[in-house]
Amino acid sequence: MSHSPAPRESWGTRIGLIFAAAGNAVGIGNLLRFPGQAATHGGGAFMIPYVVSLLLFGLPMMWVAWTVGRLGGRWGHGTIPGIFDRMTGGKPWAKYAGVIGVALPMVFIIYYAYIEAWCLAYSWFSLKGTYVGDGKHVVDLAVFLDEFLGMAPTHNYFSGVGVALLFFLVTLALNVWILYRGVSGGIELLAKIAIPLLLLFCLVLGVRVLTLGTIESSVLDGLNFLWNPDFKALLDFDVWLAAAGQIFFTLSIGFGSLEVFGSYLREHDDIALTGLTTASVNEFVEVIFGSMIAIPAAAVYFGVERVPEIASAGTYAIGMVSMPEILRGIGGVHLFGSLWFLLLFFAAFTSSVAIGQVVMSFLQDEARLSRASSAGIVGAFWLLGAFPVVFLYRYGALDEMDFWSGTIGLVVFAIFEIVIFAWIWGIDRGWKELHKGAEIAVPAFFKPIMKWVTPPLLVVIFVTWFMGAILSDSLVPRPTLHFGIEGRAEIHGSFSHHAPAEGDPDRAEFQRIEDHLRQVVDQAGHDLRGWLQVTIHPSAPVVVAGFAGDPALLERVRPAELQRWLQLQHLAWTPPPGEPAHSLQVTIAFEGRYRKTAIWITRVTMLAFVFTFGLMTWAIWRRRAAEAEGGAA
Amino acid sequence: MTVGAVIFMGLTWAGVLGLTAFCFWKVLFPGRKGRRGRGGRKG
Repeated sequence: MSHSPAPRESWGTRIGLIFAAAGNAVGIGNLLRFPGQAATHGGGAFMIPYVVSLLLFGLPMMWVAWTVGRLGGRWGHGTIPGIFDRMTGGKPWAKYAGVIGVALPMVFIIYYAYIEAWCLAYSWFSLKGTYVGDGKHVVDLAVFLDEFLGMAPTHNYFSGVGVALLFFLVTLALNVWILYRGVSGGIELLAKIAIPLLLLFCLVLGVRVLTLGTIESSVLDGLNFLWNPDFKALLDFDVWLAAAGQIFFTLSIGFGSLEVFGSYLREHDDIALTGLTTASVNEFVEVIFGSMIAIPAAAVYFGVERVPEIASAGTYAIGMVSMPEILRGIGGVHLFGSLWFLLLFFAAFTSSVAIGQVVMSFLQDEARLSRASSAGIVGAFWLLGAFPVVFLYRYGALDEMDFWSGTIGLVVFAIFEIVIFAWIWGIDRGWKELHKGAEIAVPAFFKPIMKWVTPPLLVVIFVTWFMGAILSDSLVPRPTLHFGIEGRAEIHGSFSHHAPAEGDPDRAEFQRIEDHLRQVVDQAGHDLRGWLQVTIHPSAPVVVAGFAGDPALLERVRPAELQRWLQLQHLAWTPPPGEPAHSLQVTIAFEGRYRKTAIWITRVTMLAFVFTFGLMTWAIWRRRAAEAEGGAA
Repeated sequence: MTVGAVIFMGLTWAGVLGLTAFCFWKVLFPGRKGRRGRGGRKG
């Protein structure tokens, strides 16, 4: 017996919808990824490929997503399998292609919520002053982060991933609770609170950074570093690719969340202006606040000459190592540290619930489940997927998920969407649909762009990213090598090390040793651990005095080889100010991680989600066909 | 700051602020609907 599905949810207010859509788009990347990318890709000149990418596929895809979503909502579908099915006139492949528009958001929120949980945890650590130190001992923030995530081979500050797991569970519960409350009572309400708070926190931190004065450099030096245009960078294809990637990630294109948001609109509710407003709020936070906080603060505190190293260390290093160090140095960890990490948390939280709503909508609209059951299933999937993310993080599980779902998957989804919209559904129909009830007329030149420019451009991005991964050999899970100082928390002074860069005469020897160590781990087929007794002096190379550990390691690796490996990384210890230089005896924990098993577990987990949603799609359409036959009879 | 940095930062910030202000103006004070489909509902 067939039964009518429950009426679909809807937005409470237009401003609530815009805040929710902006919350979806504004994420950690706006505040950390953008300044890092701009700083390392031509400074002010980066804005040229950035704006070009915004015009050629950022805004077109934004409007396409809203149009596709509102169209789907009219047919009772909020997610891509149902929408693609209708847009292609029931082509069997279309709904299965649309499965990636549900499975990939599910995978994405699993690991994104973990990053969100770090922000929540660090906000708590800031409030408590956990990483401030006691005056005698300075907490090494890089080690602190690595141990918090179980990445380090040592246990100076955390005994395992228990604390990270606890914050992950809290974050997960908050997300599921918001999803359970629904579109208007959950996501929209959260956005109405979180977005103004986010803007307020940005403003407070921005003013604080701009009034830092001069420490190692001035704020203006920092802004100059970020905005001074290096036009030669425009000749580098990588700069254009980086700008395209930034536009892709920042606007949340290819997640299916804008579509699901659009599906809760009525036929003549405006989407042209809503799409543009969403993009503009996102750009406001990214370009203005993103460029005002992290990089200028780093320039002031560390000196402008160290900014390239900090910017190229990656998004997490800027946000979770450099920023806490700056805040600790300038004072005000408790207030500004908490605000900074709460800001990142809110930015991530509004994004994860938006993307989580994709899976909710699939379960509610297509599987006809209640909101409570859907939230329960999403929570259960989330928890299942959390296993590799939390426990296999040290093997690169999160990066693996990010590559397939948060990078390659997004582009594949976007390619399907633009081709179906502009070529199968038809650009003329699509353009007309976009303008139904529109407050603004989208400039006519976007119409040929949507049909002729955006699709090939997305294909180029896909091919370049995928080929880049193949050529750099990053799809093969090779072992990784790590070391850490035992008893670090009790040792005064600071440690530093850096691997020889490209062009360094030591580079070839360093790589030869690393290749041999990796080969030993691969042949052992499991992680190899060792402990080195070393003598370290501020002005002399490190010397290994003793070596113990896994028999497979002792048998095939000589202590002299590990000693040279550490020397080539320029492992150094600097005593605290006022303490004379002297030798230090320390134990170094070494770990060679065998990654194949962990990475394949992660890949199988992702495939399991694709298979599960694919199977559900097959069963749902089969049931519908049977119901239609029953109705006809 | 160099002249180039001031120009790029100024133009970008002004562009973003201008676009955001325009969008919110249109959202908060909607005028006559630009384009409608046939039988569009009363705005």
